[in-house]
Amino acid sequence: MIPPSSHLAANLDDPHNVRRWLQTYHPKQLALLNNFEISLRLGRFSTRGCDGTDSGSSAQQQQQQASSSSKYQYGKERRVITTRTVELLRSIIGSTRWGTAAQLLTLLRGLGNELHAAGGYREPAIGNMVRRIMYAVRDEADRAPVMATSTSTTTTTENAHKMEVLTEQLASTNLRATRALSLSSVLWAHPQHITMKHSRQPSGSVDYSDRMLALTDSSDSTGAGGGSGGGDLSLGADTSASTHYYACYPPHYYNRRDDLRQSVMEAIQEIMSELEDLHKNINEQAVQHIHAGEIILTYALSKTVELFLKAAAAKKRKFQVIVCEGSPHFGGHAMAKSLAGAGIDTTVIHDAATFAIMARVNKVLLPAHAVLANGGLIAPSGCNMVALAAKQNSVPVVTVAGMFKLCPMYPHEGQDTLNDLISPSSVIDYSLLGDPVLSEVEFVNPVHDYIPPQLIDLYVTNIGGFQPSYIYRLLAEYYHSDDWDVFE
Amino acid sequence: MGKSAATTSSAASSSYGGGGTHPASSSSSSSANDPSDNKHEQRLQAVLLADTFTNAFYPITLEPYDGDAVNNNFNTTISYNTTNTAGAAAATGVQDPRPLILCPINNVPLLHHTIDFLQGNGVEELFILCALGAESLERYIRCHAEGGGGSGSGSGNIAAAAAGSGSGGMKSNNFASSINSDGGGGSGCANKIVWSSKLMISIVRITDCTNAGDALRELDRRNVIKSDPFILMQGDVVTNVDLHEAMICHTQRKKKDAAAIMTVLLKDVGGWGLNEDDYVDDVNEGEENEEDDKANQGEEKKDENDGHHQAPRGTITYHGSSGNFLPPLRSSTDDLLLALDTTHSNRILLWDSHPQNANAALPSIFFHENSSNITVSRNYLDVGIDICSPDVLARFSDEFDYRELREQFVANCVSEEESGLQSARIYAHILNTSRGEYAGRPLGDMRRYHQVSMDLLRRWCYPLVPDNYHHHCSNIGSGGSQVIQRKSASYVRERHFIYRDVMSTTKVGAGSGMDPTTSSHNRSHLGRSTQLLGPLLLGPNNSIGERCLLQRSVLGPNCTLLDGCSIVDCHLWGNILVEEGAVLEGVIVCEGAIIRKGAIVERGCVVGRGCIVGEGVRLREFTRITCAAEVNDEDDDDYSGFSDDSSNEEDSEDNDDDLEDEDEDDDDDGNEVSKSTEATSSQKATDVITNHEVVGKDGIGRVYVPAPSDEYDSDDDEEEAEAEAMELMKSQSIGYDMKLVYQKWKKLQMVEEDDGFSLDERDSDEDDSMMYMDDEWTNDDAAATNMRSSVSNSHLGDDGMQITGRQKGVDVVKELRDICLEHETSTPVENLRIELNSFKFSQNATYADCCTGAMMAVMEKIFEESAGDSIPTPGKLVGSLKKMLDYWGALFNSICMGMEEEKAIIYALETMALGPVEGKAASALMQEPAFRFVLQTLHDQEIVNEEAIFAWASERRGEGKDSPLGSLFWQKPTQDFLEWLDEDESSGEDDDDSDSE
Amino acid sequence: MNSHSLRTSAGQAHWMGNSVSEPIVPSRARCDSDKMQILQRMMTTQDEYMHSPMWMRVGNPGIQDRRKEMAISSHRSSVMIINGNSALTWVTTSASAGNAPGSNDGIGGDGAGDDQQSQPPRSSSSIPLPVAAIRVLLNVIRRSKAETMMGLQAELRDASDVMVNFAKLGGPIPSTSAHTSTNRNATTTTTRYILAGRSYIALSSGCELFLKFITRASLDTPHFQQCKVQVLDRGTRFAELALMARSRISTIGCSFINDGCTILTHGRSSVVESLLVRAAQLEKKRFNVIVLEGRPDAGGIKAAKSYVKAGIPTTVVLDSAMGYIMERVDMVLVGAEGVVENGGIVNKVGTYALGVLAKELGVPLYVAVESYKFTRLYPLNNADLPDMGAGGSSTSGRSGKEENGKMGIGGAKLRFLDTLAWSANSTAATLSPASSSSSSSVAAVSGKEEGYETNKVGNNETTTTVEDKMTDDLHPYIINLPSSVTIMNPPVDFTPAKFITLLFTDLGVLTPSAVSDELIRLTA
Repeated sequence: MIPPSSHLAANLDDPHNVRRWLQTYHPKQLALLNNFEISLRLGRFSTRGCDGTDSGSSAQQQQQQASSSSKYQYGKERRVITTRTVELLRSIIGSTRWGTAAQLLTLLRGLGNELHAAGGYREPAIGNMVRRIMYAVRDEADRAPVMATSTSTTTTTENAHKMEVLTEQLASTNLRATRALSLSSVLWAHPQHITMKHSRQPSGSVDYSDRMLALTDSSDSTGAGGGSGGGDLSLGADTSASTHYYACYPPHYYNRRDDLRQSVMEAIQEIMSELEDLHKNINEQAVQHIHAGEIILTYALSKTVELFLKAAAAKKRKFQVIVCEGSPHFGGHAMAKSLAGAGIDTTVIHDAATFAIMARVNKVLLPAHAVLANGGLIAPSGCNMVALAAKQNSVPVVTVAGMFKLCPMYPHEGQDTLNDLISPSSVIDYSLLGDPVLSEVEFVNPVHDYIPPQLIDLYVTNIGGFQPSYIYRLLAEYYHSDDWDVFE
Repeated sequence: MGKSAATTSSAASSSYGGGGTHPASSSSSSSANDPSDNKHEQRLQAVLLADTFTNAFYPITLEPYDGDAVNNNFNTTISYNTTNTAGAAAATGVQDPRPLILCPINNVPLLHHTIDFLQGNGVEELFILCALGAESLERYIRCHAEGGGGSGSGSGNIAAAAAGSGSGGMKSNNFASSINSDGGGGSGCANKIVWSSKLMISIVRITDCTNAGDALRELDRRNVIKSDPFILMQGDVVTNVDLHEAMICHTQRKKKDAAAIMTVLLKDVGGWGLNEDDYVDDVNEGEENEEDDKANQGEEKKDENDGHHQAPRGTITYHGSSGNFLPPLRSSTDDLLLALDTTHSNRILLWDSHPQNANAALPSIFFHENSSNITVSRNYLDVGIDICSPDVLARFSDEFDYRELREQFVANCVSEEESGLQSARIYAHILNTSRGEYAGRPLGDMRRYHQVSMDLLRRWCYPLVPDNYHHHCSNIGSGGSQVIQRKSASYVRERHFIYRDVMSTTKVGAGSGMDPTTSSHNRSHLGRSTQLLGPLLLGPNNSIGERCLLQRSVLGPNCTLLDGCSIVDCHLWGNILVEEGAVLEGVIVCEGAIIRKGAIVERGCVVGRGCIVGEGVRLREFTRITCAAEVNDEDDDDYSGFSDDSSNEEDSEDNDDDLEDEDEDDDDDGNEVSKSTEATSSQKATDVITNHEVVGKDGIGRVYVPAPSDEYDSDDDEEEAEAEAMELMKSQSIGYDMKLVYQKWKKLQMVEEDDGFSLDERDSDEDDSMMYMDDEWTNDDAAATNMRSSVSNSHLGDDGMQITGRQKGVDVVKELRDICLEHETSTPVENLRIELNSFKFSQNATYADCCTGAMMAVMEKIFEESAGDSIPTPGKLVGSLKKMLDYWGALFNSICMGMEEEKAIIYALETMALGPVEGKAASALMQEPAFRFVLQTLHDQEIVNEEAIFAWASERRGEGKDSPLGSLFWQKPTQDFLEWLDEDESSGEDDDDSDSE
Repeated sequence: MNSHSLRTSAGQAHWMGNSVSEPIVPSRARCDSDKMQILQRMMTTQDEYMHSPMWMRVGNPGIQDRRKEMAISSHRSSVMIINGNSALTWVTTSASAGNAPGSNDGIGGDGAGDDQQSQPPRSSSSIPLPVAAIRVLLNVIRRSKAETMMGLQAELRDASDVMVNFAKLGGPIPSTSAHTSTNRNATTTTTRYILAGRSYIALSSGCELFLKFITRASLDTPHFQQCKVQVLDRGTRFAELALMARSRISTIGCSFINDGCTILTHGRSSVVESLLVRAAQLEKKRFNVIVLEGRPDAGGIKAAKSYVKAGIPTTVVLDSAMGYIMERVDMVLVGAEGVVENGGIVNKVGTYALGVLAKELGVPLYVAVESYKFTRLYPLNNADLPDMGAGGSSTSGRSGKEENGKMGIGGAKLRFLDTLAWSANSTAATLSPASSSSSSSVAAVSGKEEGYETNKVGNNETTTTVEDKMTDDLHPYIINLPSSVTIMNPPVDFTPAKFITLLFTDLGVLTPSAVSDELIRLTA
């Protein structure tokens, strides 16, 4: 049993405290959070909706009539869930008592972990949104550093003193450099990159743990010993700002700023609006990519692609669409239906016929589940085959995706990246499995494919078209490199 | 401190309602599409029957359970005197056993899956009905609940509760089936626990309830269930169903028809491998009894196949099993036969889960409805989740004798409707397996436990896969203000469904950050030369030596496998040491057990908590060893009503609560004595005797021998009973070949088809014979003929339908007679009829029984009225009989559906007449003309018509003049009467002569 | 320049003479020659203000040391040159510790492996060459009497030039080495060989980075002294960052290693080693490593030894077997001498071939490299590579028979010998941590290899004996080529960006195209 004092001391210094912090000071916001998590879990139950991307699961939902519209959207409109995430974060940030940018970032990181656990791990867009807001916060914090008395840094140790010194120094330096850890910032050797010397690593986050390890190496072993001796976080909480590893924020993040809240909210509002006219911005480019008389091949069901094609059709472009049915979910059927409904000349083929028909195709439009940092693509399982076929016939492969699908991660595990195996029930009927022979067979039903960047020619996003090789720069513009590490 | 936390979080949850107005929450909640939102403010409630009270998991569920065994090492797991359960121990004499629902499946206690499932479906208030191990359950929930009080506050309540349940426990021992309201005293108050700010859990102790029926009645008595619908869930379900659709359907149906109060979830798992020829002959049977309109009991009997010949009335499509194999998810005792009215949204018309029955009956009226389209199928598995309206509870309260949730309920509803009463309708919602909806009942028996666990690893139950646990359980205890070292294993998926734990021991709440090196060092060690074959689940902190073979197994936390051991189809629950070269196949090993060097444990074995299998020992297949003390199987008899599987225990259920005849009583007393002795022995058995010849010199643990179910009465030989029980246990163990079970059933059914004999029937006959026993031995014969007659005029052993769900040992006719006797002749006879009806259905009796009972009652009354001990003269007798019939005639007319009943009446007379010689009735009826007059009166009153009499006559004709049965028939007056009848028959029609001859 | 060094070297020698008696930390002692230790000591006494691991490692210097030092460094130029020289010798020796630049730490067979067992990242505890250079420059600043920024920069540029030139040209080692117990001959060859261009790129890029850093700093604060303080302060942190880089890279890289994968490495990069060791020991990943032998310096085989120490199942194959082995490889992981602007890398010769092969077979090629190795070079092909001594022209036309003295810059003298005939089992060996026999065979191989290498690198007294022994039993197998045969021994080659999948740097994971971005941003 920990003393209540430390219980109250659940201040924002560690993302793992966030839940307790909310519980102590903002029960209402906590309730909001829980609400959202439950809804995420339900999204989880609604036919693997979130992770099935626009993949067939939603198509089946169409067939199932009784299901409620909201759940129906879950499978299909990933933009909805994303928007809701931002709404939630806005309402929490807006109404909680955080003091400094550093605290806010910690809060966000904690929330990120929560959401990730609640189902974000299957919907990367959620994490992306959190990161973007964190980036916005950093941005605001950097924009106008103030000379206010740093609240938490003064608490302890020469370390803090050093920071004070640095604060003046940094005041003069241009802050653009503090953005990300880059060569130039290495040059400036900003303290946030190395003041982690005495920090400890509360849990999980491999990245930080090892930065810290690094320091225990470069420094002598006693430095580390002192840190690990620190032991309990409830103690660490008081002396935290300097001893805690989140002290790796630049020092001026620890200054109280009154205008910060306002500006952050504005930034969030921008993100909201960007999400709102996402499809509009994408579809504006439709005419540039879809020309009259073209034969376009697409795979399974994707809201984005669907709207994209319809937009082109609305511009009186006459073109033909070939839809792969996308087994085993057969989202392609629903796709074809809605396309034909829009008066588009539509053909449905079974996936195996893709290669055969590819020779006649002018362009391949692929849906996206996530866009990776190296320009690779996570798309409904089967798309890799399509992309390869296209490459073989040197048919350009265009991917239509909103920027919120841009994930700051690399394909660590190749095909397993961001992938998931769902129930094999769509591959084989369970009731057949009593057969002792069949029961020994493995049935695997992956949801996604990883498509390497060299198979993709163009990403059409709501902020324009990009080559895969350019994606990393977009990342730098959207996320701070310190926030890249996945939420636990 | 725990309290403070609880209060804060409860505040949070309360304020959530207000928060609902907030844009984000409103949007999310609307998106949450949990039914609690899209209707009135009532929070969605759920009831969880925490315990399928089978003994399938004995002895595991007998072993004491101390919180989380993960943390104690080998020694402490087998230490019994844990202080925190002292209250429970004091109350029940044995230490609080492990609740079934806390058994881990794939390293997570089933409870978590269940709660996650309910919470995910928007349930906000959960009532856990728990009888056994309620204390440990509550303790567990408390220390895992988010806002739940720390051990401090928890233990206080536990102590109180334990005391309460203690008294309850005593009660339950004394009159096991007392369902009176004061049982509440025993079942301590339901105290709420804040699991998460979205979910309140309250544990309802139903220590004195003996079956699901009682539990629900108890719940109804407390009258806490408000939400319509609410979810009624068996404790042992693992599923990923999205209840939303089912609930919508249910509510819509309810709107249209208030009687649609229950929706049962079913899953198509494929039927038993029946090959078609089984049906061919059935079909013929169907045809012929299609023709003969003397279909008995006025209720048209149908085999599942003669639907093919029902074309004019509606079509029955038979869903044959797909292939010649056995559905893996079936329990060894469950052979569910369902009739669904697919035109009326899968209304359930027939529910028969008795493997013995070769036949089933379906009321004809459902065929009269035009365009009714009835599907009869045995492919469905009862998921164990119902969506109910509160009326269901009320109904259970009315029908005080419902025991289990399904069969009687369905049967009753159907037959009520048939007899024109306003009835409840029960519908089925069939899982959409193509959308990956899965459901399994892992805790029904160990075979299914293994099956389901493997299915989970094979990702059939998709979101419920190990690599999601970390996320699933993340809300459990996270942010809780108490400091508990929670091992949250986070698994990574590797090829071939192999799941391995990666690092992460995290402290919850105000946990201190941990040393990164340790955090990452935590990945369990795995010898490079060890061979892993999926599906496989390796928990945290395992260490596996070289040259091991692991296949289709689950390893809990802190398991140590030394070099060269092979683990196949096993479940190691944690803290287990397996030494070099040990071979385990198809074994469940509980916490803290040790398998010594070179030991071989064969399929189907269970190694109980803290047991030790000695070095080089070979444990024969299907042996279960445990450290738990002997326990009397009184409990599982009482509770077996819960389980859908344990139908045959259930038959044997209330030997002890119904009034019985003397000999029955005294042998039952014998039982009591033995049981009490067992109980005492179990109480003083703190340390267990070890069968060293089995587990070896260095071993610990005794062999668990399943207690024979009482279905075999005193006259049956014990060893047969034990053999039966052992067979049952084997069939419930991992690695048992289900083909055997199936063949056994086929044999049973063959037997039944040959001579209409089934297990149940034999019992029932014993019952009948029992009932006649005190009168005279001859009637035993009568009963036999009764039975034979039923065979003769319908090949369908109607008994299949009659007896199922009949409480064993209930002397039905006697009961009926008493009902009639108690009936107030002042009130309209209609009431009596309804009363009889309900009893008939509850006991699944026949109208014939009713008639017999009623007739006897009438005669009784007559003899009572006839003054003093003077034997009424035939004239007086007939006179009073006439008087009686003025009133009772209506009843007989209503319940005499046909031949069978009328004959039953005659038999009843016979029985009376042949009663004890000194008996008034007997002497009165044996007087020369008496029987004839009575018979004639009945005939005149058109209660009994010629056919019945002739049929009776034709049977008796065989009897010798002096044989007791013949005696009445050969009486002169009877003969005259028969001739007279014969004449005015033949004057009418000629073809009936054949009958008369 | 030489005269300078010679003149001052005496003083330095004298100074070192009595500082030899200073207590020495064993771990260093194990891996370096005592000259190394002395210079090490010198360095550390000089930068006592640095909060650097070196400081802790060597322990507080005696006061009188510092006094002597001050005495010595009375004169500006001498200081400068002392620094220069110390830098040179230091660079030399530090480089000679382990024979690949950037891996000048105890990782190899020599002893530091024990540290790894205890705590893997320890392997990164020694100082890579560029960082050492930066430290030297820091000392220059600390000690310079310059009154203006310009002056300071001038000094720095001189110092860096000295080092870079030394690295480039492999200028003769000053007579300081005479005081070390190694025989001159060995040392000279040492310097020659070591600085045969390999270290050049990294070193120069490191210095470049630091100079740029200084100039920037000078822009910040007009006031000189303040600026100097600030520069020192930051510079030290900069050095620390550079030190951290390695373990951060290994952290990042580990996530790309999956259970059961097979990794092919080439050359000997301490970054790669620390990465793999970390993955194996800290993260308990189960993977196999295939190492290319890595002629001529047998870097691969030395790496293999350290892998085995870390308990990684390792296979060594001939460089020429890369095509054979590639089909069973899941990923290729190499280090780099330098990363050029277009995202390509300069690395041990053979990497290019490896890259082409990998791409053809669809195997990803990852590069683990510290960010201070980014250089502003823009080679389009191998000919564009700056002359690394080995570069075609310089050595072309010179036969392997030429004796060291006149040997072409850098291009190590290639010795061709019939290894099969010499020892049957020594061309390739499978090392597995389990079986002692195979590891012994490794010992044989690497033993040979070391001798093989110590012909060119004498890094301690034992060298001579080893060398003699080796030369003796090698003699019959040496194939002498006619002088007309041209022998080229390019130490490095250039691998264009298109063959590189990703780079693991301390800045995070980068695509090749991101590299140029970083470099551009640096100058912008």
